[in-house]
Amino acid sequence: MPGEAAASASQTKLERELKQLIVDALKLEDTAPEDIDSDEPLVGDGLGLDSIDILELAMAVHRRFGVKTGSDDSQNREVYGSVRSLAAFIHTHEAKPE
Amino acid sequence: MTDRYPAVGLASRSLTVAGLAPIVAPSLAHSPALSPILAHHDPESLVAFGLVAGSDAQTGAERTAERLRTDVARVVAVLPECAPDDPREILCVATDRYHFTVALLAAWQRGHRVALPPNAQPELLRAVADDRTISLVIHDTDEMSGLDLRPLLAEESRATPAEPLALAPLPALRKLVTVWTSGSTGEHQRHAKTAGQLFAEALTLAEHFGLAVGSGGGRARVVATVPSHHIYGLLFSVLVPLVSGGAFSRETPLHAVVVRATLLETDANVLVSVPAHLRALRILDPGQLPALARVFSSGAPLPPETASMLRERFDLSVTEVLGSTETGGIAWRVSGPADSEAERVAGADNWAPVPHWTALPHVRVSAVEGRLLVDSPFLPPDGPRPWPTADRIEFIADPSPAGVRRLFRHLGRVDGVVKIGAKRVAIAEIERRLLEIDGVEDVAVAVIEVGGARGHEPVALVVAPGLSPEHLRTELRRWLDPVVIPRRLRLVDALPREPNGKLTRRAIVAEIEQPKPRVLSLECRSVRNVGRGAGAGPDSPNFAEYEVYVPRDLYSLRGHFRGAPIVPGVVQLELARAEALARWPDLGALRWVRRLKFVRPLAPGERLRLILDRCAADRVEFSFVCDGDRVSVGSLSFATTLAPQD
Repeated sequence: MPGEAAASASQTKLERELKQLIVDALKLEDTAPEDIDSDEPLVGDGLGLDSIDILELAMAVHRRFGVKTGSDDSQNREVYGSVRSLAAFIHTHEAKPE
Repeated sequence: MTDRYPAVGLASRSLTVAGLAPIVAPSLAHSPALSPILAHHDPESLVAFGLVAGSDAQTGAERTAERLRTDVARVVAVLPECAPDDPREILCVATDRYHFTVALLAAWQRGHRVALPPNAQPELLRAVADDRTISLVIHDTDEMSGLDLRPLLAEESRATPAEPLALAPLPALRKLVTVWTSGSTGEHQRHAKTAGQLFAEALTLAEHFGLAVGSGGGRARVVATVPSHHIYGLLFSVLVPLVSGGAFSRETPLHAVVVRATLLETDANVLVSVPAHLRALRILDPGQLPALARVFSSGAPLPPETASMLRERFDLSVTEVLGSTETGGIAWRVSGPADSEAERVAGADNWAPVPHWTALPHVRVSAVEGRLLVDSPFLPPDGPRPWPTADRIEFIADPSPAGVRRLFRHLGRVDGVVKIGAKRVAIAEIERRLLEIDGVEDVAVAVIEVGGARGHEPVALVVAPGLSPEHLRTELRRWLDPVVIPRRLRLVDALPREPNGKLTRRAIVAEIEQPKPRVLSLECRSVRNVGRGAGAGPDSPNFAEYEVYVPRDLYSLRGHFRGAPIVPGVVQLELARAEALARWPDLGALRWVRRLKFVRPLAPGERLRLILDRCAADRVEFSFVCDGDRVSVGSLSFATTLAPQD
């Protein structure tokens, strides 16, 4: 369906934007945006971000998209699990007028 | 007040923690025979609250003092008594602060000492658990083995009645916990804290900061973003509420929105945090945080912009506490408007979002050659007095009319230990952990100042042929808190040592800060390309040989497998094509590639030979060779403009 295709295209665009945001906001010098796999874990063994990075990223996401993290840390761990899950979260929350 | 503290009295063999309050916190004095733990709780007073999954069941998370006593009794019932000469400790690993408290109190009741790990990285926890000084692990997670608290404290097992336990007043000289800290040598140093030290400080803090029940603000309800296995978290989010009639949150929220939700839904009035976590609260809209009696921060200086943000957005001031594992609390200061009135009145120039430090009650501070010396009842009973700290300070004149306070400015540490995002780490430890990784030959770590939540950041130069930065970070992550793992970690062929072998911080930082060009191709140097003889063989004009080096920062290394960098085949192919064309320009455009074979992966730092053999006018065979073994081979066919020569 065209609607789905458009949604998927905008998700891909959002993922690209997020990768750039991660590299910029966290000053990851060894990593280029295209190096980040949308599905790889952001924390721990994947990209290797730590809790302070995640808080910094949450601030950058809020600045750019006006989206705040959820009110449950276990859900936040899932949201900040990968670029893909973060993009999906932003996509859902951005679409809704506050 | 300061003179009330007789060091001799606290060192007395017969003193128990029940005798501390009259000395250090008279307003909290209770019965001289009773433990200060839960002394100000009625049986039904809350000690723990929280958000339980499924949110409606909020009351399900609440625990009263009576319930705590019975839960401790349950664990005490299954815990062996510690033999008087057993030097071993119990490791408590609990994500739920209530579980942690139950484990702690039960272990103490049975005469055990509790080990507090420096961080909660799984590998480190397992290493600590396997240490022969650990007799038992009490935990509430699926990742550890030992005594799991969850079934023991579950509602079903509560069918078996247990009598609420009367907590024994612990002898002041008994060692209750061992904090495993990062010392300047890089080894984990174990630092024991006695009951006298811990409870004298908890009582002093509770009284001084007005947290005790009946001090006007009601019972303290504490939410902490720091875990209770850190000494700061243990004191402020467990012991202070326990001795002052207060309660704590079972969860340890991290994200701003979660911190807010926890504070609001649990009706908390005290937040215990660190600068990096406080800074992240800026994403909340102004006014979104409730009024709080106290916001505590420790571990690193609060950046002025974070202090200003909290004041402007949420009308919150922050109480910072300066201290260390060894000395306990030393000094405090309050940012923001509420308590800095005095400073402001004293002189407009002096007022700042972050004012100067002033000693806590019962603490005497002095300095020798700028090094801070401390004397207080929170010091180890068998250590030097005054205790020389690793902090550099500078006293400043008290601008207030009375002019009697000893105000000082904190100038940093004197040793190789740094704080990164409030986590203490020794440069030597990062270096040691790097050197332990297979394939690492030499390392140098330095600390540089950066903005933002971290304040400081370690940077590393590493000599490790064939390894990638990702691999090194993954290995470090098994041992170190992720916060202290070098973000900027550069692989080099050799460290920038001076002729005498010394490494200066300046040289390390200069190497790190050098712009990093994007290296796109393999390094290649011709060693033999002018053949003199005729026909086939190494000296033929149809033969060329090159030395090839795989740069460690070759851009294409990142592309394939993170953590296992290999040179993509196409990069090898491209080098062979380009060199062939440079050697024999008449070859022209590449038409096709045949018999391509990659025998083994090619790693960064490898040195090898490229051999080109023009076996026909339009055809070049290439092979990459390392120590006589072929790494990759192929046959390139070109659209040559010349007719075949033979």
